[in-house]
Amino acid sequence: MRIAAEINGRRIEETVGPGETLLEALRRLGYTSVKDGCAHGDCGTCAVLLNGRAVASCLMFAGQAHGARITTIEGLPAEKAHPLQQAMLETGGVQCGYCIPAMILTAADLLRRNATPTRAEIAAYLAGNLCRCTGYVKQLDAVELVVESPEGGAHG
Amino acid sequence: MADKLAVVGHSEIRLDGRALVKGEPVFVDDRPPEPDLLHIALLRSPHAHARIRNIDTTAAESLAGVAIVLDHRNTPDRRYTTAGQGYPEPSPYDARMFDTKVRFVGDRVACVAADSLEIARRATSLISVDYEILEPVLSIDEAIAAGAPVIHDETDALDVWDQERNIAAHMVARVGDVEQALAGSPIVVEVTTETQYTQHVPLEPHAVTSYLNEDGRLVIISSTQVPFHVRRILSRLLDIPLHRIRVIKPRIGGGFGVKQEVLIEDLAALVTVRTGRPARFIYTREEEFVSSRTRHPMRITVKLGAEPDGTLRAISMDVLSNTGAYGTHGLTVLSNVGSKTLPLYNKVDNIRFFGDAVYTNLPVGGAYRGYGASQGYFALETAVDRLADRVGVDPLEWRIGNHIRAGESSPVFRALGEGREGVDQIIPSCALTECIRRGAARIGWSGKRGARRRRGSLVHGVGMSIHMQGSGIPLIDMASATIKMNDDGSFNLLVGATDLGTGSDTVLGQIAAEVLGVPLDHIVVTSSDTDTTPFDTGAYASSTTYVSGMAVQLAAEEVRDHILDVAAEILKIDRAQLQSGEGRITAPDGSSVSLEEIGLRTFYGANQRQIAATRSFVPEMSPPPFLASFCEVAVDEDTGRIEVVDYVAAVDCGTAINPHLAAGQVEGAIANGIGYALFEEMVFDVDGRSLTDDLGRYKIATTLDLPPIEVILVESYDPTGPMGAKSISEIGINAPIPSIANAVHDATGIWLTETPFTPERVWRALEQARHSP
Amino acid sequence: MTRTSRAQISEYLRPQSPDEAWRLIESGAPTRRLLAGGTDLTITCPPEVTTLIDLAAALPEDIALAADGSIDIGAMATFAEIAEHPAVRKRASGVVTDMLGHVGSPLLRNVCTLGGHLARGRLSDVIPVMIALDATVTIYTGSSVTIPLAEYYDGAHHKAPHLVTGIHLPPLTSATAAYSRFARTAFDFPIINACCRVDHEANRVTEVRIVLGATPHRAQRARQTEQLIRDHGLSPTAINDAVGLARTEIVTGSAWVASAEYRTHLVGVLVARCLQHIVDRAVDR
Repeated sequence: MRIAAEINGRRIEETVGPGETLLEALRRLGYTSVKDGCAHGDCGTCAVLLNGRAVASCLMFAGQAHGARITTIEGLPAEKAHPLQQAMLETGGVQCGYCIPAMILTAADLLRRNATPTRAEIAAYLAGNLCRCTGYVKQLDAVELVVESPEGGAHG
Repeated sequence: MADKLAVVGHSEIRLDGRALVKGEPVFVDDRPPEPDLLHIALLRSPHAHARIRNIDTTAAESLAGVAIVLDHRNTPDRRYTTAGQGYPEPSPYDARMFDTKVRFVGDRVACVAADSLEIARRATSLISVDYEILEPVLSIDEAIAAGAPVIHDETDALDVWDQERNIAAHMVARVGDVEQALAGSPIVVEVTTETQYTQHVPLEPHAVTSYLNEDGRLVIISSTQVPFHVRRILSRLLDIPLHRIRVIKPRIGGGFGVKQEVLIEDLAALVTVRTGRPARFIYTREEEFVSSRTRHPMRITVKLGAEPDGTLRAISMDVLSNTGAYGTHGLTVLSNVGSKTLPLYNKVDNIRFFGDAVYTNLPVGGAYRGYGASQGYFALETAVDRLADRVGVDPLEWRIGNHIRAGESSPVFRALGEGREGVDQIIPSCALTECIRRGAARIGWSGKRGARRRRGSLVHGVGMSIHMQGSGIPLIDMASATIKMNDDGSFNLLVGATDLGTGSDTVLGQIAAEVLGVPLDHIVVTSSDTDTTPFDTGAYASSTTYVSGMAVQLAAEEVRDHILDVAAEILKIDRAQLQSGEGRITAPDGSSVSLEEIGLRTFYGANQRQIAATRSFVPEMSPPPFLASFCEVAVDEDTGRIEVVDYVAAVDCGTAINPHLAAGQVEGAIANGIGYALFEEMVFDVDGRSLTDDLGRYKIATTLDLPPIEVILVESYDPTGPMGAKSISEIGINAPIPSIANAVHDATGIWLTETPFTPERVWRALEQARHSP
Repeated sequence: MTRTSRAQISEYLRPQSPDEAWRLIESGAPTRRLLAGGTDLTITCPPEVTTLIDLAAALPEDIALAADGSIDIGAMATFAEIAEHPAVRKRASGVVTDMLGHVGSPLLRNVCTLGGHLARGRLSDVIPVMIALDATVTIYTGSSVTIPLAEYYDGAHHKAPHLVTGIHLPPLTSATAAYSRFARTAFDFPIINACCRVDHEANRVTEVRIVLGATPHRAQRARQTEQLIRDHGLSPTAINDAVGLARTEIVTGSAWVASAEYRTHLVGVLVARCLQHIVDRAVDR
């Protein structure tokens, strides 16, 4: 079946399987930053922005993205590191990095709707993005760093 | 120390960081599919214990798109171990690629390689297997009961301690006379602890791709912690000359020990060799739980004999470890239960360690961060608190008075090694007392201990524990590094060491940069490729910073000497007078030459040569990092829920080469340890089937399940390590169980002896305490 | 685990109206499945399903506050959209928003639809709260019928082919509600949950709902306990008595994650906490 959507600002029309999840379709199409960590919506490594909202792409069929606007980490500005990406590097929030693209996208979704979240609000919004390496300390530091930067969380 | 250094001691941004935050295709499964790629699916045993009478794969083989089906009839039948350890592996050879007997639910029965994963999976469902179901052995007690079914009844297994009695491995160590010392001790404290099955849960499951390159050599790209062991084990298992195999580790999404195991590479390799086609095998999350490796559950009894003033006379530790269906890491994990814990209290003359690792028809134990020490510290460190409680001293002060110190030794170092006798060592560096003092100050120990602050149904308490681990395995591990200089004054650093997300490529690069006097970006690090990088045993046993780091330091020092030779030629001055730094070699008179000039000259000018060095390092000791762990808990007396409200880990890892990365190792290990203590648990039904085969049922901590974790890096310097460093990756995971248990006792007076400390378990203990006088 | 598979799915339909969707599912063919948010079907699709019927264009997703104070929620509204809606935030001291903040994770709440969740009707944090608020569901089977959510699962509707097209929260006057859940971790299935609602009129209790979920049953009303609070109000003695009564009237079961005995104990703890919360909120006002 065919779906039309916008991925990272580009309009696309693609053939997807009727039983294919959005995660499977995105990875098949080369968006391999979207990770398949559990395929059950539990780990959050497959998160993408769907019409601006962070969603677990393994819990949707590709057909449900018809007409939607999808953003993966590749859709963040390439010329200079997105502030969240930069902050993750500076605070040491990246260890193995497998969870990181989804974690950054989810944080970007939060900051877009709330430019000044508290640490507790950041933690609450990242509760579906599992990380096994860091204990989340430096990842929460990273989002806070962006919130507290002169430009604030408006970057999201 | 760090302020005198330009690169080491600074939180440099990790070398692979940019690629990782941009989501570049750096993991195994991110590679575009090779043309003609075959996908592999596994048929797993639905039974805990059964013999395969007959297996019929004809329907699967005739399904369109199926390339090959592998089972016990068409694969090598030699016994081996999947443990990715040095040769000869200290694990029994009790496994086959595919066996005629299955020993746990999830054991291998057959695998299918097909044009698509869907076809491969459909084909596995077409394989019909006739099982003779055998009585399963589903606990330690069932395994050691008289007349228990024999799990390994094969005649060709090697190095199993006692097959008839289901004992995979056995270890005893004795110092002095514990029995007599205990009998003569006025105070004897005894504690028995039980720990559960847990899984590592790297967010990237096991992943491998294999193909034949243009020369017909087998290339394996694997999410492994041990590329050189993978190459050796595949060569021996599949009868392929070692030089015909190349193993590459790209970026990997965490390991924590579970990728120190050759779990899936053999299948991809054999499919590729038999079909000539590329193959890919990615474990599902379910397979990661049911067909992978776990942490050994253990029952441990510790007895402490002491004088009424708390002076320690004897320690005995008796361990029963459940190694599951196969003995991988069974012996060495068992040994480490004692060898990484008992030397901590070295002011005692009588020590006994006794351990058995028993087979059961449950998932297979393996290497897991902490490697037995985590289980051992639960028993030892809660026993210490009980002793302090009995003799009425502050457990903090008791520990300060009894822990090992720099310049001291413990007879345990020799008595108990990694599955064999160990190596004598004198502790080169130890800042543990300072760790304890600083951690205590930060948590507010003196004000909170015993205060039992209440708020509604919550009662607060604080607890602590202290720990040591090691830095590699002495006289067994070996690491090597090659450094070559380029004509712009940059360097290639080639290491066999394996960065599994820890940042070790960056740490090793920092060591090289510091010695060579260049910024980190002048070091191009290539790691973990058996064709291009020199040998390293791999990422396990907290070895990389210390062992691989020393190899890098030695290689860099040799390269620096070559550079100084060239500079001396150019500057016409005695080498001994030259200084290196900031990319230049400078003479006392201020004349200097840049590394770029030196590099260019060695390639194209006078006396042409490649400046390069390869050095290897075999450690003669394993300097332990030390940790003082403190936590504050709030126990809900209505529900039994433990909330950890604050956590402080003060750690001595010598020089922190990269403080952010070092602290990150401890934070992550503490987080995993808190999950281990409170809620992580693999649960099985009465037939041995997993009830927790996804992350909905097997819970790991989210952002909302953890307290603030503060890591204090306490300054110290280990004279034997690279730039004064020790390793730090494992130690943190040992701490939460005993620290939390001790804090719960401080809050409520109950002693927890069984993990995980679920609310129901705590509630029952509280109920029992309420109803007992 | 039950066998699931998506490989055999060969057809994906996008009906544009409830009626069109109804005609596709009417026959009850096991090969066809309705697709709302997708969070369930992506991971538990039965192997016999070959056709998905995507309801996104067929059913409403809007949330509206009516003049009489009732709130209508379209079946395709996501948990996140519902939680954020100003009218929902105010209803019964914000209990729905509070509860939805504990369901799944943000990555799920941005996908899960209320219609899909209620139609599935398994272990739930949502159902007990919706029952406590006297929610009704509108069901379409060629024509629409609206029934109390509390009766939806007991009657024939839930088992036969049908569409859940909307959820209706009736107006409540002076309702204060509280929700409490108990689980192993923040992002986990509930071991037990409770929702209590108390309506006041001139300091007199006029209506009470006490609903327990995940016992592990879907939802149970503690009717005797409700009556006790109606009769005696929210005095400390009444709350204490309610704890004991709820423990006796709510039936719990054992599973590996919690024993029935422990669940029964928690029933009392959660009911006490919800009722005390309501008392505290009333004092705040």
